[in-house]
Amino acid sequence: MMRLTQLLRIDIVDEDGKSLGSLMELRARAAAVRGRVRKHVQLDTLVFGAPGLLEHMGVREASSCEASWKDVLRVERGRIVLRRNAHKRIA
Amino acid sequence: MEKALELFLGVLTAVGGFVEIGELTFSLNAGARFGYHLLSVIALGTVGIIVYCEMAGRVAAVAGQPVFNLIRERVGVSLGAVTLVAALAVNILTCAAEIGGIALVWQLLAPIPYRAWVAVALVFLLVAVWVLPFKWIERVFGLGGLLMIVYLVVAARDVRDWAELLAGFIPSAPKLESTSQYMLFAYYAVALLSSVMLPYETYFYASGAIEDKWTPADVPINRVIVIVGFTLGSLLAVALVSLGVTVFDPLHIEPQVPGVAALPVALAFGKAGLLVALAGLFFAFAGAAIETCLSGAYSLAQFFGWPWGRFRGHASAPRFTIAWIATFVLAALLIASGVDPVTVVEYSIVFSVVILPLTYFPLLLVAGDPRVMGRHVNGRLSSWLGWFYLVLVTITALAAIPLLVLTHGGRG
Amino acid sequence: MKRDVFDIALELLDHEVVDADGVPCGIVDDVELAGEPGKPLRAVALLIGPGTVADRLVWPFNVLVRRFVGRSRVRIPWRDVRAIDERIALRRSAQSHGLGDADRRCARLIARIPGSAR
Repeated sequence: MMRLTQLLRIDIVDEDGKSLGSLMELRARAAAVRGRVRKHVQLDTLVFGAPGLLEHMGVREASSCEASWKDVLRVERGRIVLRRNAHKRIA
Repeated sequence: MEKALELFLGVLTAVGGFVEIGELTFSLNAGARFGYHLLSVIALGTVGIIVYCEMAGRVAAVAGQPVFNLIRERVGVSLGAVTLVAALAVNILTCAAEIGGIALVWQLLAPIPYRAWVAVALVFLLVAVWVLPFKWIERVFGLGGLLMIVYLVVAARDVRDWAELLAGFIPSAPKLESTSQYMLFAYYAVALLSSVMLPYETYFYASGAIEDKWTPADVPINRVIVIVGFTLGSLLAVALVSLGVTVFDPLHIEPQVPGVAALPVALAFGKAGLLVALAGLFFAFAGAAIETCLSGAYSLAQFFGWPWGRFRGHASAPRFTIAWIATFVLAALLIASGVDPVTVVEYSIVFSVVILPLTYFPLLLVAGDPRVMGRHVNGRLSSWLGWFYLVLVTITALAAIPLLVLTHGGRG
Repeated sequence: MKRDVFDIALELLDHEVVDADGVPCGIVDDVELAGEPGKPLRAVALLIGPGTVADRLVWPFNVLVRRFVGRSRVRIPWRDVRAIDERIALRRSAQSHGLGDADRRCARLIARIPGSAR
């Protein structure tokens, strides 16, 4: 069992140990959330980057990357390890 | 027709509720020490409070969200907790100052010990908020505060040089003798700005809009109330500065206690004038005491998601009820402890401006967010003014405590 | 403006929770996630209560909250969430979800004062 606030701002690294940023958001498809009541919501996508203060506050859109949860290899203490080259830039 | 009445009463309530003890003390002293030069600061602060209360009212009417919910959502729980603790502390300080003001005014009418009057004021305030519905609380104390107009009448009568008064709206500093005098001037500028833009006003205004069940249809009324109401209300502050110039400076009196403000009215209109003047002070201070107290209870309840609001009834918002009762009691204990009420006023004003940036920032973000506000999102003017004032209050917040220290608490 | 994605930190965390009657009964203080690499990651419950908030705060705020507000932690399974908008709406009353105990205790205290129904 994990808590959302334990994952937010955790370091994201690839399997070579290269730092890719910190976790900013977990994303689901809206259709999976709104509408009928469900037993749970599947979170498909990690959004991460290196947000500064202004981005944290929502003043500016952060330039970020996303990756699918399917490409997560391990969740270790203090970081999430992604498959090499699994992420793509979104902004 | 009903909307027109609501608008009219809303404007009058905003006017009557504009002055509180900090503004009174600093306005009179500013006039006595520095002439009309600080009127520009009152004008600057009035535009600022109009901008932010308009935003707060609009967000409450459109999103149904009061300020503290937004603070936690936008800046996160850690910064939100800091803001909450700071806001609660400042609210108790300000409420204590207002209760002290009420006791000092009553003491002029009957020579009963000050602490006894503090106890009477506490009981009066507790009963008023317990018994009166929210609308009545707003109207009674807001409209009662209109008695302050007597100060405007006397001030207008006593102005010797209208050109000098109007020139005071152009930012300028008087010729002073030393650096410490200029620092005192800067301190007064900071204090006056803070006293016009007190944070509890936005919290209270937004929560009040939800108490009054405003909807997006009320957005235009909101705009008229803040613009007309606060502009007219600021004339009361201008009048107090002017009384400082025309009455207290020539007499070499530094108006330290609020009751002294009634002196010019007594001189002009005798005993009847004095009673009206003191009644005006009473309603202004009592209204501010209630607003600061409820504002603190709103903030606490909204941060933790408790049911809140006078509209729910006491038993349906129990922790909110306990919070406002506890605030009044703590404030009364503080002011009855023997600490100088004028010192409490000063500290409440200075620390208020320090937390202002934390209050305004999330409000500005949400009011400018089209996902929340839809077509009622900040226009270009609101946006520009919002950012301008955020920068201004941040600079003021950084300067406030150093100036308090360097001027030895405003003594020079 | 409805988007086609749902961002859990932005749109769920720290948002107000209301019960079936629209009465506020807390804030989403945290979200319970279940899953591991290789299996889907799911949000399965909302976590509400001052105990949960305190876990996210540094000293001295965590101590202040636990001391003066409380230590309770309530777990609301996702299936008890009826709708997600600016507020999160639950399916039943606060009491049946295990929320609002402190309010009910305080209400008994307040009810002793005349005029408390006002």
